[in-house]
Amino acid sequence: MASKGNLTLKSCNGKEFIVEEKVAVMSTTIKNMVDVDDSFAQGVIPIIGVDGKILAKLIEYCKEHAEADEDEEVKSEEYLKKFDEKFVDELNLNDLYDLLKASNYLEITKLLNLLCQKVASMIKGKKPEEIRRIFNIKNDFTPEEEEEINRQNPWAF
Amino acid sequence: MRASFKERRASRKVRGSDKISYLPNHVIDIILTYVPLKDAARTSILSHQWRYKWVNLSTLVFDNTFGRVRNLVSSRYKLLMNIFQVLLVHDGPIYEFVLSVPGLESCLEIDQYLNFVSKKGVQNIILQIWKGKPHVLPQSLFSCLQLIHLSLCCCVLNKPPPAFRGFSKLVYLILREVAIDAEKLSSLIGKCPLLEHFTIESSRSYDYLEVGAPNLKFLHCNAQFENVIYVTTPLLANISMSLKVLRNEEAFEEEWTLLELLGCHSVIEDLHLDYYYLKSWLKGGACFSLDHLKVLKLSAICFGMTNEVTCAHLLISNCPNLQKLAFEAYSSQEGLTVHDVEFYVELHQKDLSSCQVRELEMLNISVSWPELEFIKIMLSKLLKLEKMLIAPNFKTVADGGFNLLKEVAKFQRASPKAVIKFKDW
Repeated sequence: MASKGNLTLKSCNGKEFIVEEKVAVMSTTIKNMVDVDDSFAQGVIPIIGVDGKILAKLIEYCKEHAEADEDEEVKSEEYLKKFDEKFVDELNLNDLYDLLKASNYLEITKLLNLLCQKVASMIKGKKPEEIRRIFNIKNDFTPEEEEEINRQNPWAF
Repeated sequence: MRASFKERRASRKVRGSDKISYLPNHVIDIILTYVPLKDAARTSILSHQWRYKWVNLSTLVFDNTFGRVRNLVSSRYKLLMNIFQVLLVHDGPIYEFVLSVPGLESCLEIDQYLNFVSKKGVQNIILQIWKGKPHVLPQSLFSCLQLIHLSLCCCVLNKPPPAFRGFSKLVYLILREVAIDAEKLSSLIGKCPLLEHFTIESSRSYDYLEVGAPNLKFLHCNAQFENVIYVTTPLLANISMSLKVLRNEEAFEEEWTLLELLGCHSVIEDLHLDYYYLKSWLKGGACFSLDHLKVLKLSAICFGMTNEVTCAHLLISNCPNLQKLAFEAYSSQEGLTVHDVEFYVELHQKDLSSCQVRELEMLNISVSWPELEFIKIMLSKLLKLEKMLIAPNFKTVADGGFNLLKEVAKFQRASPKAVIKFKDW
């Protein structure tokens, strides 16, 4: 059991993490759970659909940001920016998707925006074929359909 | 059984390899708001799954990434039509609408766009006219009652319809070169109860500005006001007042008296005044102390003008908790008089021992005698000083500021901790 001020989070594959409450409540979903039901604050909070590896990543991110929110002196904006950059650069595509889904479900807005910006940077200025290749998107249009879309929004192509 | 298992595994494999297409719509919407509209629209050709994802975008940004208006009539027509095309296929609410296409002039189409987004729950509007006449805004703007952020550049704001009760959710109001008279402006501010940030930039001058905004925290005026009247501003902590015209191009002959530049019960923490408003502050009484003030910036200050230096000195001594002080100097061509020398000798005698300033910035220094005297006084009086930054005026200082540094290094420092930093380019 977690001591006072700490919460226990359990991933879908059974891994438990003890984290400080201020770190855990970076997630609006967890915050709402703790606010509404006191038993969550005492016991174990199950994080559905998020495995241990992804949960560890989420906690790593929230820890840095919660500490920065608390004390601007120790962790400057510049430091956080560098941390964020490194954090997203080290992710492979699978982790990126899983983190996107998890941060959306857990409502960690800052992280969700950061990850969305990462995906956006992979789309920006690229040709459709390149984007399909990067994200393994299968082109299921017929050439006729493709031509029609091109015709409808000529300004975009 | 076996076939269906195989099928399921196959489908999982496909989804496994292309996960991005199956992210929640809300997430896709955020991703697409971070790419230019053109890129977002191009995703329609990726696959059937992506065909209509972009049409639900809640943010529509028409800026330089979307296009620009060139001199040809056909270029302008094409661009306006392209915007219509986007609005025509769009589906769902539009929370943010940005129209800032380089070269855009006032035209009827803008009103039609605004009418359209006014019915889409718009919360943020940024509109910038790039050239030609200012655009007279349509009355439909006043029906955007969900507005949180309104930023207008080069427009005309007419009187709202009689039924207009105000923008009850507006937090940010930014007006740049917007034609509106003092009465309408003050009335508009009074009708935005949640307003926290107000910026006005204008080359025009106004008789007065009445600020009745109980939640206002940030007031930035880059225009000439004869008087500022604070009705209710209990939270106003950050004020910046300066003229838009450059000091050497100053067209105003008369100096007005600001009766209440800062309000009587001010909780100001951060204040910026230029020479014009600094002098007005002194004329307006200058009797009360600014107990909460932590950061003070004074710009376009001429150290050869003794009345400006007097004002600055008085203001500093009226701020018992000031932490950071910054001067941006203006160099005049006027020669030194006996009176100036006497003035600085007297200033050396004045007490600043209770001053808490830790950080001092002296920017745009031309190494004139009054400037050096002032720096000398500051260094010899500020007991708590930890850091001073000096930046020379690189237009007039030829040696990259070497002489300035040499002079300043000789000055006695009252605070043993004071470090002098030199800013070069």
